[in-house]
Amino acid sequence: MKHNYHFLFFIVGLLTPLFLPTQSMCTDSSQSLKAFLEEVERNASQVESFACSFTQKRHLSLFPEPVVFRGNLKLIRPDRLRWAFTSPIPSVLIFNGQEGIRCSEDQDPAHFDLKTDPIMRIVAEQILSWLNSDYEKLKKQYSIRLADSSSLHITPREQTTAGFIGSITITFEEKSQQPKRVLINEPNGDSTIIEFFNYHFNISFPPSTFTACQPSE
Amino acid sequence: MNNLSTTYRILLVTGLVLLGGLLAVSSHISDSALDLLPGKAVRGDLKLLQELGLVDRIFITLSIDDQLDTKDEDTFEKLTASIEKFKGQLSDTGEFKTLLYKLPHGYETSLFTVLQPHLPYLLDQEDLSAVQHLTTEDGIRKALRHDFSLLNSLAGIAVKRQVSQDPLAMTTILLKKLKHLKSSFNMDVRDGYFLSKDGRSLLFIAVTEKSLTNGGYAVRIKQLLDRAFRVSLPSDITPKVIGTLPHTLANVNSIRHDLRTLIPIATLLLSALLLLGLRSLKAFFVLMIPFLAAPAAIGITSLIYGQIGGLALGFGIVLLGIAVDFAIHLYLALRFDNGMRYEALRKIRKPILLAALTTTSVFVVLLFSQVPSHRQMATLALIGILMAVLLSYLIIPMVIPSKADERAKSSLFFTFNFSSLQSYRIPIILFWLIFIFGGVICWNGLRYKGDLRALDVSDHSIMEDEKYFRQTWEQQGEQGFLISKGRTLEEALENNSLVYSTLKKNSNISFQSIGPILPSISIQKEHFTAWQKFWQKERRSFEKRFAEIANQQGFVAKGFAPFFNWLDNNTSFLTPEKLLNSPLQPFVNSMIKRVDNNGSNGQTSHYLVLTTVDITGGHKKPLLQLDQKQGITLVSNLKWRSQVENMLRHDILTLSLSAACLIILITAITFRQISKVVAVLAPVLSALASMAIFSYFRGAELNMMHLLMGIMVIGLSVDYGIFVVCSRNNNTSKVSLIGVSICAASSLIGFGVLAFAYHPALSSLGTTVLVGIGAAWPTAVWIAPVILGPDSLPDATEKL
Repeated sequence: MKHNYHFLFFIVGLLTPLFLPTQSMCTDSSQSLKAFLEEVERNASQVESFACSFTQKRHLSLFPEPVVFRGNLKLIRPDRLRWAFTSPIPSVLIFNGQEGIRCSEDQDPAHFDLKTDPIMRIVAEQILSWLNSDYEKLKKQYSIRLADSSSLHITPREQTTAGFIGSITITFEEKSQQPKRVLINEPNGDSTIIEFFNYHFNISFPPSTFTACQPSE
Repeated sequence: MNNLSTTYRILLVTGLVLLGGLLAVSSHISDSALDLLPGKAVRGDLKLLQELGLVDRIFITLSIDDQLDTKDEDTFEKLTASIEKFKGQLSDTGEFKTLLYKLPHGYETSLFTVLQPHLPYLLDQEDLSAVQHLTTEDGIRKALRHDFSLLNSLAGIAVKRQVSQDPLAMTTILLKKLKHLKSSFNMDVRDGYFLSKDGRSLLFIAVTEKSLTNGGYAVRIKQLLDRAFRVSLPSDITPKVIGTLPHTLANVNSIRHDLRTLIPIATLLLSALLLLGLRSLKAFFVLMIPFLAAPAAIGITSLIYGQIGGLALGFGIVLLGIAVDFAIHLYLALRFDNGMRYEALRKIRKPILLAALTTTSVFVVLLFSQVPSHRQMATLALIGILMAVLLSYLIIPMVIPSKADERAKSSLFFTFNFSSLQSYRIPIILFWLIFIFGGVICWNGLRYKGDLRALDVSDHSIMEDEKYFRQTWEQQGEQGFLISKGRTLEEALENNSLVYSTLKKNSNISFQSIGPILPSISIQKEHFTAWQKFWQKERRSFEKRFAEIANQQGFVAKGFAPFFNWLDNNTSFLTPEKLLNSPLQPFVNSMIKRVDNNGSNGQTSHYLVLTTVDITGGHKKPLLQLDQKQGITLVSNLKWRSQVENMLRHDILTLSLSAACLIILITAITFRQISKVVAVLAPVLSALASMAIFSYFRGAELNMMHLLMGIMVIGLSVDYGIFVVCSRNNNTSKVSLIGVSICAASSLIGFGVLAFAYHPALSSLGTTVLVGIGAAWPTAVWIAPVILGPDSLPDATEKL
């Protein structure tokens, strides 16, 4: 037994030097991440509202080829969002505080309450956290690391979320520090890419933006 | 009386009292509220509720101070932190079977995952018509177009698996029926916690290990809750508790309080009355008689029934107060015996024995009541009265000197002047007849009230807490329970399926049932056979149709392979075990119970499945029809009310009539003259008439306590008539009238004090008996002698 202990100490001794630089690298990495997130959050705090366009490309095994949806989004921080697809099938999803509305061409506006609709509440919490750059909150649910100087690589901590999200990579615009591209990889190989562009910051929206649901708009 | 006989008497009294005391000390007092309920059926119903754990459920609302202007998120976090701490405190006590305050993780998505594979077993014939519509060309097109939008929406990633397994959304057919799983509370489920609509309260449900109808156990649980509240809740979070617990505590506390305060007050007042009325310290021996008789009565009653109910004990002791009457009459007879003790004893023997006979007769009749507590009270009173008569004969002659007390003649507190009564004979009798007629009219206007809550303590704080609960959780209407029973779980589920299918047909009935997700295996087999038959016919053409439309809608048809695999491979039945291993476990646990009994045939078990129904609407009929089926029981105030009303009507009519017949028979055999019989019964009639008039003007409702009161008043007031009529033959009218008056005054004190009781049943008993005796007394003193005629009135020649 004594012999075995010596062997163990020997192995630990051999490995220790290897750990030290790694630890140092981790510290650097976490400091860079911290600085990066602080920068993103600082920029986000200067934006009370914004509008932008987006293109969503879904690569699903259920589709013979990637499906591209186009649309625009309007946001007033912290909890008002209008997410509208304009083509090929127009539809709108609105979050306004604890209330929500969804509608499409062949579906009348359906109102829902985020308190009572657990699925939509999860969707709203997730999307608003991302768009509000609330990384303190997101860190509780995801492990976040810097993929490169302008991208974050995110993996879910919870098993339930990990069941349908493998990883998320967010690439930020250099100047505005707003998300430019989001890549969502699913466990079975499916993926989704959303590209945001044409940002307009701190603009005002008519009140009906977050109360009226007209998909053809 | 020589010294030897005095020694024997002392030894006998000591022996009897000691034996009674020993029996009383070893008797077991039970607090079970079930003893108060009439009939086996109602008690059986409540036993079912106990077996299901419903009686032992405690509902706790934790609310944050309304004045605090905190953000929703902060309020929620504070509430959840407190409720978790509170749960931890209660878990450590080991006194709770279930602590439900949160749904398990993953409850949001669990319904689809758990139920979808078993759809073929859960969808009924009606649902298959909906499935048929979904498999048409139009149905498929609509469903896939919706799927395409959904998959490309923000929620698309989360629902992808669901779409590939169920592209036609057949599960929604079942999910629509799950509205019947929703409780009658209106709440939000946030992170699994039960949150009120205003976001300021959380709900916590605890089920205790033992019965909360037991007073002692309820006190212990209250102490545990209070401790847990103190340790886990900050000052701005207030707990409010409703359920059986506060009612048991209120009843136990009020009865204890009443007995602790009212018995000493009544004893004090009674002592004062006897001292003033009899003007002698020896009056204390008279007062002692019921107290000496009580231990033996309690001990023997407990021996007969195995235990004695707390309420029966309280009321029974009050009933024993009647026993003082015999001692008073004997005392007065001996005190004014004019030196002829033997003669005095002979004269008083007949009325005392007759009064004891009539009183015990009415209590014998009460032994046939359907309320166990009434039977215990009757036994207690019966034994106590017989014991009191015996003790009166043993003790009173010992304490009264054999020579007549000359001073006593002048010390009598009461004086009567009857000579003028006879000249007003006709108007007095007419007035009395009108009064009796008024009583008869009012009697016809009385209703039987079977609401068991009439016996409950209407504590203000309990009512406030219940009102707060209804407001916070927006609970409306009154709940009833349909309980499906079976020797096996399958049998219980079979009965429950019948309940579910019946209630489903009545769209106006709102109910909560496990029926839609857990039919019996035999019904699941039926569903599966119909499902197979449908798909055997449709399968080939459907697949072709589906593939074509899927391609047109932008899908790869083989992407739906999970769906077709599921159609082709038979899944197994949905069993309760599968549900118990899912996040639906708390719900299933609250609806299905296995009950183990240790009987003479060894351990047996049965199963109960619960359905809760809103019974406020006008849909009594289907519920009562279900109650008639074997293995299904409706447990609700709605049914009890009619059952209790029927039993009450039966008891009041049969028992009161039997008591009346017995008394009439005894008096008729004894007195053999109509005028004497009417005179004996006059106080009884007056008492019943005044009680009917009083009850009529107090709301015209009779509850279970009135039966007891009626019997008791008959038993008491007939004695007044007996003593008055017997005294006529003995030329002792004045002494008897004084005796009757002291007895009536003592009863008025006893029941007058009881009228101030906090417990509604005690107070109701006291008030109504007070009114009855209040009318019987003047009738015995002024009307009975008038009915007997001029010869009966005490005249100047009568010697005291």
